[in-house]
Order: sequence, then structure tokens, then C-alpha cells
Amino acid sequence: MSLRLRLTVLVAAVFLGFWLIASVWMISGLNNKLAVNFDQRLRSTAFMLGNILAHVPKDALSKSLPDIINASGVNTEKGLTCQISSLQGSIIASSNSQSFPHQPTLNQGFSYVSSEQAKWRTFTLITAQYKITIADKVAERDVLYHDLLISILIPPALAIFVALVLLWFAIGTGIRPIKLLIHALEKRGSHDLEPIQLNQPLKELQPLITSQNALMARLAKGISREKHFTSNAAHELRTPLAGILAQIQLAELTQDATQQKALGQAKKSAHRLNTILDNLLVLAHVDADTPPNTTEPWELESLITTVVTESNNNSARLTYSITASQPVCCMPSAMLTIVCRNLLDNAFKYSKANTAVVLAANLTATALKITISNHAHINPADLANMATRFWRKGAENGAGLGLSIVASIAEKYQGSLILKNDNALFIAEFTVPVKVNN
Amino acid sequence: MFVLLVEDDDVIADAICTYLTHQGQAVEHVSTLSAATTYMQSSNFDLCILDLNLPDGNGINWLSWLRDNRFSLPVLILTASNTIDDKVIGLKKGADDYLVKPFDLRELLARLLSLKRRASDRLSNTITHGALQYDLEQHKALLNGTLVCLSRNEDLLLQTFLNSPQQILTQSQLKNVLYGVCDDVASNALNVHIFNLRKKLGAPAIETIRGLGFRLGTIEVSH
Repeated sequence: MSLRLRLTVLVAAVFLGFWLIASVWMISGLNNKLAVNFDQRLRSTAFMLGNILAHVPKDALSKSLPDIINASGVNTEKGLTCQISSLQGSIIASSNSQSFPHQPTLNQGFSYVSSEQAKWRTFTLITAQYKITIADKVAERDVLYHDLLISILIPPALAIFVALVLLWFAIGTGIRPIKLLIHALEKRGSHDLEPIQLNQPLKELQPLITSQNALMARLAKGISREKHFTSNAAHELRTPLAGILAQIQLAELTQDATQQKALGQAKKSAHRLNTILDNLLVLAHVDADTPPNTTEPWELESLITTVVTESNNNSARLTYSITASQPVCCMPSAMLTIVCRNLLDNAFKYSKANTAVVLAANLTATALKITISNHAHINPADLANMATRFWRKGAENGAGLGLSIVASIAEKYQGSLILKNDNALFIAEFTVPVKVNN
Repeated sequence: MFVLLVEDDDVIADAICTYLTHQGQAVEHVSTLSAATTYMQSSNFDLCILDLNLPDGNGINWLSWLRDNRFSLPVLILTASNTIDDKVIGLKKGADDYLVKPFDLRELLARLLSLKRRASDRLSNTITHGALQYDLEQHKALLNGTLVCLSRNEDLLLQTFLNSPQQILTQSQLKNVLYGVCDDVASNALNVHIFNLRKKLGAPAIETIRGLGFRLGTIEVSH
């Protein structure tokens, strides 16, 4: 069902509902009022006639009343019927003696009388001399009631019908901006991520269009980043793979020392490939996982000591300090291990040979901070790019993922990674807000 | 052939250098564009193998620089990037061939020989100069139909002369081909190789241009 039809049906149902309730109420009231008025007419007529007859001598009345009734033209089949009889029950005069039956047993007041021709509503007044009965055909009352009813109900019904037709067109005009939006969405291709643009969109639709456009912009950015990432990842994987294949081919074509050297080089490239794959998996893991709400508490000192021990090739260059009085539960220890390993690997790889690398791990009530400094100076223009995925500079065979993994972890845990020069030192500061285990 | 290899991956560079040297070609390896610029300005290379994603910039930009500065040597792009866009841009910017990593070393050499052949406007890999027929692929020299045994350095020198038949080649250029750009060798080592070539091909085969260098001379048919 279309929105237009749905709205029209809903509004029509409400209108008709109100109209029906009002009509029932009105009909019911009208029926009662009409009955009361008709009865009042019978009663008034009977009393009026009674008063008139009280001032007329009985004998004169008996002789002249039938003539008066005939001459006055009230002796008809339609309208009120009047029957005057003596207290003993004999009819003195009757305006409709053919169809209205003689009812000697009627008491004073309202009553219904039925004959073969019709049903009557009567009012009987008993005076000192006469019994006056005024009657009204129930069928005539019903006709009048129905005529009145039709004249009351039809105009509003017609008005409602016209209103609904107008409503149909009004709703169509009212929802036109929605239709335009639907049309704009329908005609878009499945790969079209351009923003939706409507001329003078409804104020109410603007937030929807804005959020839709923002969503599509994010989607386009995400797809672009994904493509860039895939392309870079493919490039970074192909390079060591090409090295392995070339060296294996060389080993097949050569002998002795050259062959052994080629196999050694292939192994070196295989290690590099393995490191890149590990980094890509870590990155995918960091990107995909939602940080856990709670983390098992762990000891900072134990973690740092393990990481330092792993760097045994460079242990002579490394000095470290740890300030922590409580266990940490702001992030999993595995994540901080990756952070420390990558920062240290970066520091060893890109600093001058045999110069010191300093690691400081500091846990306060508010933050966990890992600071690693090494002897190097980075071009200020490159500092902003260092944490970009696959960005690399220099002769080292890095894949450009180490710092970007650290930056991703920092972002994941609402922290930060600051890279800066400080005189002859390059400093990497990893900070995350902390939840100290109580 | 004297090939400049611009490649930042040590393992790939090592494989290419070892293979091409093994196949009788001379290769100079650099891992940055700045070093490549320096080498291009100081030596006379026959070919260049160029990686695109280098530590100090993009190879495409360097290729533009190369062509802008009228270096006409054939350039083969060797990269892991295999998108059509990259290939089209590379070829439009002046590359003569495009090879995607991983690659086959034999295919690389075949493409290099093909590039050199086309650059020299030859129909085959065999160069004929007077009575000498030299097969660039097999590294076989036939003088009057008889095989001439050449050492690696003599072979490299002969290739260099045959590839630039009208050109005067300086001692420095010839040394670069034999020993690499940075290697410092004894001053008479080159003369020894020239002497040996003259001995095997005839004295007029290599002409000495005093104060300038050497040039390919005539190799006459013996009757």
C-alpha cells in the first residue's frame, strides 16, 4: 500500500468514525425529540379542542360538529385525526371515521391503536362532557422522520466525500518531497555513493538526507581505504614473494656458493614475508575486534620485562624503567605487548647504530604511558605520515605497518600515539586512559 | 649490456644482479632515486630496471625526470603493482616495458635483450661488425666463422663497443661497466683487457682516441 493511500485511508477512517458516532448520537436525539414533539402536538390539539368544546352547548355541537369538520377540510386521510365521543362511548364526530377505529375503551393519555389500515398514536382527553381523541398515523411520523434524517445526513456525507477527494490530492502534494527522495534513491546505482541532492527538501527530511549523505561519505571513504589497503597489502606481499621466487630460481640455475647464498636470501625474504603477514593479521585483529569491557588485571612490570628479554640482540642498547604500583586492566596485555614490540623494533631499526634506546613505562591513576626514545631525527614533514599504513621511508625493509598498528591500538582504547623530535632524539609516546584495578 | 637496477628490496636486487652477471651482463644496483640520479649523470647505462615504490619517492616521477633530461635509454619498470592504471601511466611516462613481481629471471633477461635490440634498431640478438658476429644472448663471438674465446671482462667490453659502434667511450665509462661505478681499480687493468681484445680480434678492432678514450674499429675478413 502506498503512503498516500495509507494516509488517505487513515484520515478517511477517522473522519467517518467521527461522523458515524455524531450521526448515531444525532439520530437518536432527533428520534426522541420528534416523538416528544409529535406527542405534544396531539396533546395540545386535544386540550385546545376540549377548551373550545367546553364553551359550546352539547346539543348544538352534536348537530353542527360533523358539518364543521367536513366543511373545514380536516376530514382527510393525512394529518391529525380527531374523534369526539360522549362519555358513554358514542361517537359525536370524527375527522377520519373510515380508517380510524372507534376506541371506547381508551383512557386519558397517550396510547397506540392499531387497525387493519394503519397504526396510530393517540392522545385521549376526557372532559366533563366529552372524550376527545387526537390520533396521528405512525407511518406518517416515520416518513417525516426519514425525510428529516435524509436532509440532515446527506449534506455532511457529501461534504466528507468531497473532503476525502481533496485530501487525496492534498496528501499527494504534501508527500511529494518524500516521493522525490524515493525517486532520487531509486535511480541511484548500487555503486553510486554520491550525496543525495534535492531542491528545497522538507525540513523534516533534511536530517535523514544529511545522515544518509554522511553515511555514504563514510562508506565511500571506507571503500577507498579498503581498496588502498588491499592494494598496498598485495604490493607488500608480492615484493618478498618475488624475492623468494627469484632467489629460488637463481639457486636452480647456479651451484655451490652462489646457490647457497641464493637459498639464504630466499630464507631472508621468507622471514620478511612472515613478518608482514603477522603484522597484517594483527592489524586485521585490531581493526575488527571491539575492545572488551573488562580485562583481566595484569602486571606492567612482568610484561615490560618479557618484551625487553625478547630484544636480546639489542639488549645492550636498551635501558628501561617501570613505574607502576597496581595491576592494569585498561587493555589486554597482548595489545600492549604488540605496542612495545613494534615501538622498540622501530627504535632499533631506525636509530644510529650502537646508540641507546630508552623505554619508560609509567602507570598513574589516570593513564598508562609508554615512552620510547632513540637517537634519530625525523623530517618534520614525515612525522605526520609515520603512522600511516604502508608508509615507509629509508633503506630498511619495513612494510610500513608497525607504527600504524600502534596507532590503531591507541585509537581502539581511546588513547593516543604522539611521535616527535626532541633535539637529537626521536620520541614515541603511547598513552591510554587507565582503569586501575581496585 | 650495462644495466642500472633501481630496486629497494635487497633480496630481489641480489637475485637480479647475480643472475644478470652470471649471464654476462654488467649491473649496477642502487636502492634510492637520489643514488639513481647520481649514477645516471656519471655513467653511460644501456638499460634501466626501475622499481616504482622507492623509499625517497615514486619511480614514475623519476622516469619523467629522466625523459625530461633527455636520457633515452630503455627503461623496464619492475614492480609489484599490477593495476592497468599503473601500467598505462608507467608506459605513458616513458617506460619501454613493464614487468610485474613476482617474475621469472629468464623473462627479465629476454625482455632486456629485446629492449636493447629495439633501441639499437636491430632485427636479432646477433650483431655483425665486419668479420665478427656476436650473439648477445649466447655471448658467442665468431671471427670469420671461428669461435673466439673471451673472458667475462673481454666479453663485456666487446658488448659495450658493439652496442655503441660510433661512440668514443672514455676509460671511466668502460671501467664502470667492468667494475661498477664505485669500485676503484688499477689504472692498467682496462688496458690489459683492451690489449687482449686486440690480440684476439685484430689490432684495428679497438681504436685509441688520444686524450678521449676508445672506439670500435674495423674487424676485417681474412682471406
